[in-house]
Amino acid sequence: MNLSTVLSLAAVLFKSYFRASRPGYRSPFSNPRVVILVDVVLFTASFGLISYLLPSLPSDLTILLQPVVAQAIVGLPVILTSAVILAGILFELGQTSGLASSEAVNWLPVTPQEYVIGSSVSVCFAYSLFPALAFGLTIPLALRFGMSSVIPFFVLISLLSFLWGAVIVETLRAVMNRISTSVYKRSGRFGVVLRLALLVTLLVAVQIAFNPYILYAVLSSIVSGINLAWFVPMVWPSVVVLSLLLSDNTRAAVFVLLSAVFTFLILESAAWLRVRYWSPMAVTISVSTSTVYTPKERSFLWLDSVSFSLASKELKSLSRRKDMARFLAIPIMLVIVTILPIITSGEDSQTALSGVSLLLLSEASIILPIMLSSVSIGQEGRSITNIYMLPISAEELIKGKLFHAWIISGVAVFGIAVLMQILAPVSPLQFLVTLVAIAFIVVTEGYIGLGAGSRHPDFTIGPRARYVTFTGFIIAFALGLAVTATTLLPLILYFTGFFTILIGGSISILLTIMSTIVVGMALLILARSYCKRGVEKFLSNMEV
Amino acid sequence: MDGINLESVTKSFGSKVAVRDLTLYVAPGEIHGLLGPNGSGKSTTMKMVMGIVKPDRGQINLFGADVLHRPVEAKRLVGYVPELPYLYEYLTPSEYLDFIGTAYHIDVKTRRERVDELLEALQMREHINEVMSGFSQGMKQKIAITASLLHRPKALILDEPLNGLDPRSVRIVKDILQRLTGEGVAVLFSTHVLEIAEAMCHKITIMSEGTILAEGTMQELRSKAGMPGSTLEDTFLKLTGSEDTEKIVEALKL
Ligand SMILES: Nc1ncnc2c1ncn2[C@@H]1O[C@H](COP(=O)(O)OP(=O)(O)OP(=O)(O)O)[C@@H](O)[C@H]1O
Ligand SMILES: [Mg+2]
Repeated sequence: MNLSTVLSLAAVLFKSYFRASRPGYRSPFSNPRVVILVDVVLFTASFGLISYLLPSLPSDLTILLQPVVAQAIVGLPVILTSAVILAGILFELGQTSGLASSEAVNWLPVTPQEYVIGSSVSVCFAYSLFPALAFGLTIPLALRFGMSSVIPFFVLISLLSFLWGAVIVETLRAVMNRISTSVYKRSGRFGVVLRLALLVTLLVAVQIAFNPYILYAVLSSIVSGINLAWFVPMVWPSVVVLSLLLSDNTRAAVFVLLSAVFTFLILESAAWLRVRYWSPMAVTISVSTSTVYTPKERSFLWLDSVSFSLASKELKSLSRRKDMARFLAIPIMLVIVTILPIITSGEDSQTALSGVSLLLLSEASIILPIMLSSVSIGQEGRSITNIYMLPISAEELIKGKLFHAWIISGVAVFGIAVLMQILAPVSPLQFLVTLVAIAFIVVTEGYIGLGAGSRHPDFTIGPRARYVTFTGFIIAFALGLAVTATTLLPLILYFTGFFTILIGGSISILLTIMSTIVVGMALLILARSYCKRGVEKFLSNMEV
Repeated sequence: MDGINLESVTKSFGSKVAVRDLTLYVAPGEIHGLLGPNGSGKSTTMKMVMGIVKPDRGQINLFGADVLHRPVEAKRLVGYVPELPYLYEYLTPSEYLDFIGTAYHIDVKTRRERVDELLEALQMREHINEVMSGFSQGMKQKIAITASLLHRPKALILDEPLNGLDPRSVRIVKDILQRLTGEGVAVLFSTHVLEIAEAMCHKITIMSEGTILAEGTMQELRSKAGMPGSTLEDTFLKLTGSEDTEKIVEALKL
């Protein structure tokens, strides 16, 4: 292994991550030095803020804080691993087969170990603001509570956990290629469906396995006696920190050793997987065995034939592309991650469940439509040339690009709402208002996502395709949150009894319906014009 | 006005001027060859005609339709084969051509006839229901060519369209183009293969660094270079000021 190869590889991969999202466009972060600067600023600022605030806290509160701080620094390694894996699934797994096989690293004399470490380091570097912020927040607290001797170990082992997450993402990439290849040998529509199901299951399973909540449960088993931690390598770095805090240096040493062995093992297995499955073989897949061309042209609901064919292309992209599977896995993942704590805690259900379903409902009605619509422009990659060269109007493009986002989220959100109604029923009229509010939200969020996605598309089709720039992602979610909060405001006022106090009970539900519709309609019109302007601007200002 | 018209078109990328004050006319029924060294602005010019890249200055007009102001209308009239075939690789040719055909509003019956005819000619019939991600470069190119011809455009913008095609398909595409020009289609055609340009093009424009070096029929170009009776290759090298290739290769000491 050659360290300079590893570092130059990491630098190249990192730069390719931030550059080339659009020809001619260059993010300020494409310079590694800027990233380091941001990290330093973030660390110093959070460190300074906490150090400044600490002395002014009342002393009884400070005493209460001590166990929380201990928990935080024990938990941080685990959280860092989970965070990288989540970010990896969200942003790092877009890789099309054609590109992978022509990437220069694959024919240059780079060993698989060098590649795995280089790529992992570049991922860590890209997300280095996580640990920078985390250290800035925790270290001053740890110093305050006399844990200073632990800090150097804590920092080192946390960084190791951080790297683990990135290596696991590498592994995941290879396993996904493996699934693609083997399933693709089975041709036909069944193969396509099977592959999608396997990929989604894999992503969901990984996400559950590395869920901080579950890992925390494992960690706390140390305290309760049945020590599960031995079997779950992910928590070993945290066990080291815990043992040091408890001055159990022998156990700390044992777990440092175990962590080192585990580091070696995952690196080797990631390298081994990469050697075997670095790229999915391009296999010939027949969707049907017929060699006759049967032209199709349909319209459906509000879709004319052009937007219908756009929409059906979009659905095929979602179901056939390996890099798109995550957009279906993420919502499933979110649902499970939200429900998990309730199921495992065994808390009395009724209230907890209705709370969770409300959370789920807003999650699904914000995240699903925004995610699906905001990536729908960028996921075209260089093929966007097709959209540019064809006589397609902004109106048609909007309809075609939003159909799948609306339908998939609509079905999911409606399903959750019905489930919620069964578990924690409200009156039919109240249920109706909820449905109306949700319908408005889903449609509006779709427009917002496409509006942001067309203004900030990311056409990179490298190993790190994200399809929407980070700025676009943030804008879409901020707007999305605001829309949801505003649309739900009348309902919230109603359920908290505000309207009932204002005017009598039976009128207040009517007032809720009316104001929901008015607010929903107003936001919908605004979002629609935001979307339309974005798409029109995008269509008239092309640069490929 | 008929044909493809570019008038004083300029396009810069940052400080780099890719196309400088270019005026070009392709008459109906003419195959117009666009030649020039790498990076001389051929693809950029073609993308501007397609409305894919917006010129900083100048006018572009396709058979009466202004590309800048009425892009959708202009696009209906023109077929495009990009430098690289950016197809939707997760689709089958059948699905892809459906998408293209629908966007051009070609009715189902006509679409079936034309797709059958073209794919038969290019020997792609048996792959019609295979996902294109497994296709070779030439196979993808054939689909891109088929897509560009589907709606019987009045103008064709072909950016190195014969790249990767086998000799048989090259011949077929050439024949198709000859037939289409007979029907009044205006073709703007870029290539690096000078034999092809010489054999096919009625007129040739040689570009360099974003401007036109020379323009005209083969005869006119030869006399302009002061080399009557020479090949296009020699003429091209003379005009682009790169005749001394032998010295360069010698200096390489490979
Ligand atoms: N999107 C872009 N951003 C920045 N520069 C660009 C862009 N597209 C083209 N250029 C620059 O414009 C110039 C002309 O490029 P163009 O692709 O038109 O050349 P070309 O004649 O087609 O070359 P080739 O024969 O290699 O295909 C080049 O210097 C290129 O670097
Ligand atoms: Mg070119």
